[in-house]
Amino acid sequence: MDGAHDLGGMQGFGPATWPGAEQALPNDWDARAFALAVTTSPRSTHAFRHTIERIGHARYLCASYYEKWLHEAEQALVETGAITHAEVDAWVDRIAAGEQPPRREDPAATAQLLEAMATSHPMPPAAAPEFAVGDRVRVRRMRPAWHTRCPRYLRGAVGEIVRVQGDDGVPDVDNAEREAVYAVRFDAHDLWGEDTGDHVVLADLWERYLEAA
Amino acid sequence: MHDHHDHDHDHDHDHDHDGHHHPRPASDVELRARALEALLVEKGLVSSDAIDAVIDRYVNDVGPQNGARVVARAWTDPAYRDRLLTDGTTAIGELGFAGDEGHTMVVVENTPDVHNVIVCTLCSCYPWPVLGLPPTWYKSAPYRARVVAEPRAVLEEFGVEVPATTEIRVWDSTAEVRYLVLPMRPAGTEALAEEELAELVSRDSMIGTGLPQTPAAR
Repeated sequence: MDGAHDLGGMQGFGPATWPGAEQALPNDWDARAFALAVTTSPRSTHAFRHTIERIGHARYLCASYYEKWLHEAEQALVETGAITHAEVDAWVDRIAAGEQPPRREDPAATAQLLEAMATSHPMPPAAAPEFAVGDRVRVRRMRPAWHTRCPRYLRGAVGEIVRVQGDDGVPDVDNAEREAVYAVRFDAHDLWGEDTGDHVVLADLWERYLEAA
Repeated sequence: MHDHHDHDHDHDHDHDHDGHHHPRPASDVELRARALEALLVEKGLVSSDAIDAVIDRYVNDVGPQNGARVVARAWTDPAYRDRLLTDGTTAIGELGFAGDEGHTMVVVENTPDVHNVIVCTLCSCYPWPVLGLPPTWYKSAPYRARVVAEPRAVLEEFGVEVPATTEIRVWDSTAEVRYLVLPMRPAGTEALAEEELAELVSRDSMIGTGLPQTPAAR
């Protein structure tokens, strides 16, 4: 979907950094929300991101970062039937009333989790890429119904393939198909017009986002 | 988007007539985080030690000190630098850094002619195994919106001036490749050992919004 998360090129947000912006986890609950989200996530990365994109555009821009991850963690477990919002509401009331939350230890599962978290599964080489380094490609126009990783600001622009990254599951179909991902190089003038700087933007794009130019 | 939570806990504690401490009312989102964790623990869907361990990993073990070791090795070992630029995932793995949000790593090298900057305009993709969790500004709207359109203006706000003759390359992490910038080794560091060099490598110099420290500045 084309939502508030697709920020490339937007104007009017103000300075890029400010005092306090260095922190990664500003509050204790940010850390716990982060850990809950990565530990319990029952769905794909694409579904994870799409759940955050569906949070509502005003809320997306106003909520703090891990508030959105907390929403995702709860929403994903509700949508997969593991919990209900009412059960979380009930625990909100119990904790607000002073009840100590329970603890449960599972050292074997935790060791497995940490091991998995520290193991890389690199993208395999592309089996049958349609494009090669040096090819000129145009990013297709689209209005995707579900999640996509093709940003709006690149659509319609012509760029050059600079690297074939490998094969990966396609976000738009939640990994039901796999295809080549390419690093594509765009001149700033082709994205933002003649009056902008002379920098270069590179993005990693799935094959179906591209056509020969 | 920043939070405005009150960190001044001490002043918010009340004492009732029994002398018990009652913490100040938690914010809605903080309460909900604790409630969700309590529910998942109660249902056996998560264990408390797993949550503690994940936090410990990303607060204490994994951070820009890892990336700094990669950069310092590349500065002192030309063969390693070549491997790093050819196959980032494997070369970074040699130093023991791997895992989530770093499954496929590409390292881009700064030179007098090229300055690289990393962003994720669609969410907040960031190379966790070498840099840890991203700072708030990296995840926020202004940086994500602006750096692909006006990188020089953004870099100036971070105090980085790139010569007009240097090409700026902005890498938008739109797929599952994660990027690390290999900054230029500062002048005057010829005599420094690898460990000393690593101390000069800032987090921002590996995102492209900063430069390594010089020995004189330390």
